[in-house]
Amino acid sequence: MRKRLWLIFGPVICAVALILITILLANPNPKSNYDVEKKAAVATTPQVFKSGVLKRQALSDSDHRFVPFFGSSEWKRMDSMHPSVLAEGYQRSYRPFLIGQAGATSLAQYFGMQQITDQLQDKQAVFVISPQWFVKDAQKQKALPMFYSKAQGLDFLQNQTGTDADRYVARRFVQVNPKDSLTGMMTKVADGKTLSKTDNAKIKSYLHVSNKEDAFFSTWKTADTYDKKIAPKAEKLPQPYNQKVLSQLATKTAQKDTSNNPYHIKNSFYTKRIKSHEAKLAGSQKNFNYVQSREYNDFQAVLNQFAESNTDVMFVIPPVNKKWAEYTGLNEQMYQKSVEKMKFQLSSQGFNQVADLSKNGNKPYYMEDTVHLGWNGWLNFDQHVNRFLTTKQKAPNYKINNQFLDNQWAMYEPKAKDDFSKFK
Amino acid sequence: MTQWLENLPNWQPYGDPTYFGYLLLGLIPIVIGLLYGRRFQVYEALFSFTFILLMFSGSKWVQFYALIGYIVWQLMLIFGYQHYRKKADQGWVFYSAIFLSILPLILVKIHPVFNHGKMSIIGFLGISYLTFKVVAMLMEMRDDVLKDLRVWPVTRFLLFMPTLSSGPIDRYRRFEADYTTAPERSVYLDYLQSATWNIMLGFFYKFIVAYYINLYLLIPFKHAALSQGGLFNLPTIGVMYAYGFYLFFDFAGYSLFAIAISKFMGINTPINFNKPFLAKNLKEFWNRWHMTLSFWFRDYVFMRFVLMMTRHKVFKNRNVTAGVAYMVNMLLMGFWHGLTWFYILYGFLHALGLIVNDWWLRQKKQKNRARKKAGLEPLPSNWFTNAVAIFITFNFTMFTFLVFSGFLNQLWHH
Repeated sequence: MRKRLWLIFGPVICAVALILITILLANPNPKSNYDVEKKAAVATTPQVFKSGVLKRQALSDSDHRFVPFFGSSEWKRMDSMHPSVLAEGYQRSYRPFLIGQAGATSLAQYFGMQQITDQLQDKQAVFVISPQWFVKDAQKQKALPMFYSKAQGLDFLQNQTGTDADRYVARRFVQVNPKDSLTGMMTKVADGKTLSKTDNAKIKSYLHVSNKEDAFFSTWKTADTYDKKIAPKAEKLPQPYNQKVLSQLATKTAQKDTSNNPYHIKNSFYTKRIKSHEAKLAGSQKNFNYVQSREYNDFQAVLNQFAESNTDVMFVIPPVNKKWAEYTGLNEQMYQKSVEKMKFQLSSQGFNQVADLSKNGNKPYYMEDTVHLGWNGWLNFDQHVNRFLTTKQKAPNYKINNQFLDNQWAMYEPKAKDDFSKFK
Repeated sequence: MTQWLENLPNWQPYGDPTYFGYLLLGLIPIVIGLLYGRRFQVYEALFSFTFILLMFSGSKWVQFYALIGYIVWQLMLIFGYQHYRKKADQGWVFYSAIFLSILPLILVKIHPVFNHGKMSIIGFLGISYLTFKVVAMLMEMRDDVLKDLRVWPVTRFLLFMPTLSSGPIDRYRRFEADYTTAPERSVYLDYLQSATWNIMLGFFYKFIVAYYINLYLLIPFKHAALSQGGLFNLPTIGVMYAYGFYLFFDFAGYSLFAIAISKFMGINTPINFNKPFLAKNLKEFWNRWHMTLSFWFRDYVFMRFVLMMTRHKVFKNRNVTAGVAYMVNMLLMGFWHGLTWFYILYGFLHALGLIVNDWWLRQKKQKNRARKKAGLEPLPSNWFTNAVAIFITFNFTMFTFLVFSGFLNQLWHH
């Protein structure tokens, strides 16, 4: 019998043991490796977003300065003026570490930041706000599972100290992930209770294992975006850096690449995403509204994190493609209202580094497609960001106002020329 | 009690690797006992109770009470009917008993239609599978093949933990025979071997294949189809195949787990899937797809309906009888899935398919008979005709799964 039992269970037991050994041997704090880091920095995959190991490895590299660029789908618009291309081509003192793709809204970003709080401490960062996040049913957060990993939740539980923002985030987590294995502890935080000793021990041991797992798998997590999309374009940039030359080049390239439609949208985007149902899209965005949204509260959680880490952040607010907005009926006044609301939330708390590009949607070849910066837009973006990252900045002085975590703020409808006195 | 229940963790059956860890740990004493020909009934009961409790704990605590209430209700029906059946056998009593046993399920299915999709509080995970078991028992009691039932064996049959939430649907007499005699050692070792294999295969099906199909095919296709809109588009065809395969690997994986855990407990639960996409016709498909469900419907709906109609000579032509029985059978299956147009249409399409399939087979038989008389070879049947048959059956079932998925509803009304 014993021999038979060994034949049945032996292979399984050996396999499990081998897996455990392999994973537990992985090093969650790998040495700096510029080759891995530069690939991870532009991979823009959910795998990199979720991998604390890769993010920490790059952002704490003492020989190369990677700056976290938080954002979403715009990072994938890797044309010849993309910030990563420019930083590479002109050998800047920094390299963008792109964090986020389509669907990575504030809540996803907040959880992603929990893995790199040490790396954010007293450092600089860039954050692109997409007004498209600020829709009414933002609470559904359908894309969150794509960017969320258990390690982020665990890091959050370890970092939290029971502040209003912590309780707010925990509450949101329970709403969005009611079935998650961490929901129990999140509920405690949301209710303002302290975590028990066993809870903390659990967090620590889970985190230990998931960091090992992350370390083991991170080796295969980077994509070949760097070799395919960044390096070849960086090589072709005209040397030395000259704004005028670049701008001419951007316009010329863009003209060629947007020839098949009247909206100055990149040809491939137009063919793939619009052409087949173009007529149906006319007027389709008439009722879009970014003014009242839960996202304002989620965004506040992100601001709380930046303030806590004393991170000097530049916020960028992009425009929408004017021609496209007109075709789809997107209300420009509504758009500007939402921008005003965001800007008030920023400036009133001392976040003064804001590049408001929202009125540039009509500039030639500023957008690559409907809502994403491209060519001249990227150049403009680069001017702001480059100046911010390479010249000395005043130390930030943030004054957090927790009113912005309230539903009242989320649902607040600004009047024309509002001074937002209710929220001062 | 409620508060205690609410504070317990919730473990969905076969949800993640940790669940298997605890499950297998709990199984060790049972396995050792069975290896030595002993069944520790009390321990098994405790083990099952714990894992059932954890299925319905935490935020799902309401379902725990629903389950208890449901079991009490069904036991009262079964033993009430048994008591009656000893003395008499009137049709209306039998039909009332059947109706009362399905009543909770009917309420659970109807409730969301009138309450904005909200679930009824008497519902719980696995209610339909329990109903199948009870209805089959009542029918066999009327046939007089089931008698002298006792409360404890019936309860442990109904609440058999590995198959509680989603089958496979076992039969009482088969289960009871397995349970009362511990399998011989050599047989049990075979069980252990196949159980280990099934768990590994189930991991592969559910956590790898189904997971990746969902992530890299189903979700992107749905996304593309929804953004294109219209009545039908190319990505919807992608959704169709991706969903069909996803459904198979997810559910077949789940069934493999349930069968494996049953076998660890010395119970030879019947299989649920047998390479369904290799079926050459629709009838064969239903002998390979969700087998315990389709056999249940065959034995307790289709056959009984045919028998009843033949006995009362409702139709002269027995092909018509069969056709009507297919329709009743498959529509009922559609309604069982839920009261939405797509589930019902799914049932209807399968009934139609089965009727056409029967007609085709009859035609072929007649032709071949005629050809034989005329001294000709029968119609060709070779690898090519088989491949065509498999291709047609496969695509038809995939299309019905698209209907079943409810995605068309989303596409047209989002």
